[in-house]
Amino acid sequence: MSTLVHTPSARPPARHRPHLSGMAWLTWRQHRAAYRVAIVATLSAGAWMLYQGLRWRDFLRDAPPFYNERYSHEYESWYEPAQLYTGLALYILPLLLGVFLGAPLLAADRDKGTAKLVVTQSVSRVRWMATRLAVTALVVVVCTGVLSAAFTWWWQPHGLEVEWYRPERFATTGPMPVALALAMTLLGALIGFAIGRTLPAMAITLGAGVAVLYVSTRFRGLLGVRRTISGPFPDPAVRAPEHSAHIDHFFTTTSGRQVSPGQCSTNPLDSCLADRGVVHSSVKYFDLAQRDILQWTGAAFWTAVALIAGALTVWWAARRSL
Amino acid sequence: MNDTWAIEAHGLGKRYRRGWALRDCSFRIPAGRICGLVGPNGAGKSTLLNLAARLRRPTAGSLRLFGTSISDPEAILRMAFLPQDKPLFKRFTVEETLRLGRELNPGWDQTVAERIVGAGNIPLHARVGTLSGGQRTRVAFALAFGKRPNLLVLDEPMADLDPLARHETAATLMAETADSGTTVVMSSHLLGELADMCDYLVLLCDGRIRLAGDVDELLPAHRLITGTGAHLEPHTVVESRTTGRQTTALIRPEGAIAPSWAVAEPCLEDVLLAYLRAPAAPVLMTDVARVPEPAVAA
Repeated sequence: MSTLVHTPSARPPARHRPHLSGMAWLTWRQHRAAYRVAIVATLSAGAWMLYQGLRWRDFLRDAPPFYNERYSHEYESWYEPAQLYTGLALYILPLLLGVFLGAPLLAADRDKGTAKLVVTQSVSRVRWMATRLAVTALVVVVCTGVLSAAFTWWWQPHGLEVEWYRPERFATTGPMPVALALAMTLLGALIGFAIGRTLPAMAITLGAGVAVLYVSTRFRGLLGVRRTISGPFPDPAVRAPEHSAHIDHFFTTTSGRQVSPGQCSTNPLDSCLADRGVVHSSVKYFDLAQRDILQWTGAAFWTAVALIAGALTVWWAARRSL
Repeated sequence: MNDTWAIEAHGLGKRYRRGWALRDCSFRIPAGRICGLVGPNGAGKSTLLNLAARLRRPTAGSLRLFGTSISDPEAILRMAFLPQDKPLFKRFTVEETLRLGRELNPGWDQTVAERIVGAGNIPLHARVGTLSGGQRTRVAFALAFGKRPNLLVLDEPMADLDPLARHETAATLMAETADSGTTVVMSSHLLGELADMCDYLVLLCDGRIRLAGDVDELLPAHRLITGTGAHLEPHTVVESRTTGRQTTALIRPEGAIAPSWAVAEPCLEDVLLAYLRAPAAPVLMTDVARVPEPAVAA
């Protein structure tokens, strides 16, 4: 038997909770209010989406295969807006995490001088910064991962494939919200560390976050190569499959000249195009099967942005004056 | 590891955008001393202490703590630093603040830390933000001493304290360092308190060393003379003032002092004030404080 030596100190009673030590303990203690809000909000929203997902499954099972006013009304008055607004909330979630978790994370520490307190203990600056970013990144990944999974699961039976390319759907399902949130949080942390004052850091992070959302939305078409289907004109088979997105039509004449559909304002389109000598048409599109590739490619890009921001922060923390 | 010299600076300099804050400083402080760092505002005291705490990096020269260069992260292990504003996490309890020290320092001494906090009757569950200035200083001291440093660097530790808390803080500092043999370097404007506590001095003016060495050597090197004579030669004059026909001067005697002068032994405060008033006074460093020139020029 080993003997326990009791010091006369007043130690806290042993509690049954995960035991953190060293820098991880300090990180959790220092930012526990923000982490707790994130975790409680995730659990509440996740549970709510789980419940809604069950309701949605019941609704689909009970709905008659033909038009029914009651079901149609319920869909339009509840499920449709619920999907839209939950999607929008998840769309701006990375922005919120960047502004309210990322930006104050390091700014407050420089603002109040507590950075000096910690780096003059025995822990290295690299460990100091890397631990804080890692714990924060873990919280962000777990929270957004749970929310993305819950949202995806909710609409799994029906609804997700419809207009999957729309900004607030593309960025709120699969790995996208996780990567975007990680990028915005670590960019916010870098901005906060650079500026050292909380409110200006939050304002600039808001601007940077909007830019990230804009870029991720505006350029999502570059994340993959669109498929093409071609054939003689007119041929009804030359069209994108169901649930395709980012569709463009191209028309060519016998001489190889391109005719854009915009040049034909008269109706019907087909006869107008035929009048202009169009003999060949092709369609470019992303089909539903490409959704995963696009999302994972986008997520990889934003994760890389996050890692670069994080590495830069750690590198700088090891060198700069505090 | 070199345990003779707590601090060795060689050609140390730090330049900010607005100019040099510290320039060409070469001096050393032996281990075990209580060293006062004196100088007017903007003299470079905080800059020097921040360099020692690795919060800033020198522009020129080198600085060693117990033989370890401050470019080496290991240098921080043997020192503790108390910045001027004594930053602590305001939402932490006193107990959590001590836990911070325990979690981040392998050589942590909880007994020492709790003794210092306990001597001030500060409840361990109190939030740091609710404590008075004196109590907060005490907690900051507990954190610094709990690290068991060989070198404790304090930037104006008494500046914002009332006289009672100041007295108490000084007593804690003296008691804890007497027990542990810790070397202390503290900047201060309170010359009286420095005189009571310090046995070593470094005086900075305009980023340069003006005076450095043991108090026991520095004081006897000076005389305070009063008289009507005009002949101060061949002595080195630190500062002289003439009121009417009466001249008062602080000198470093070079040979016998003419009998026409009334001679007095200055106290530390006299010497410090004279040097502070006369920034152009000739530099005085005792042999202990002088860094030997390196054998090979860099």
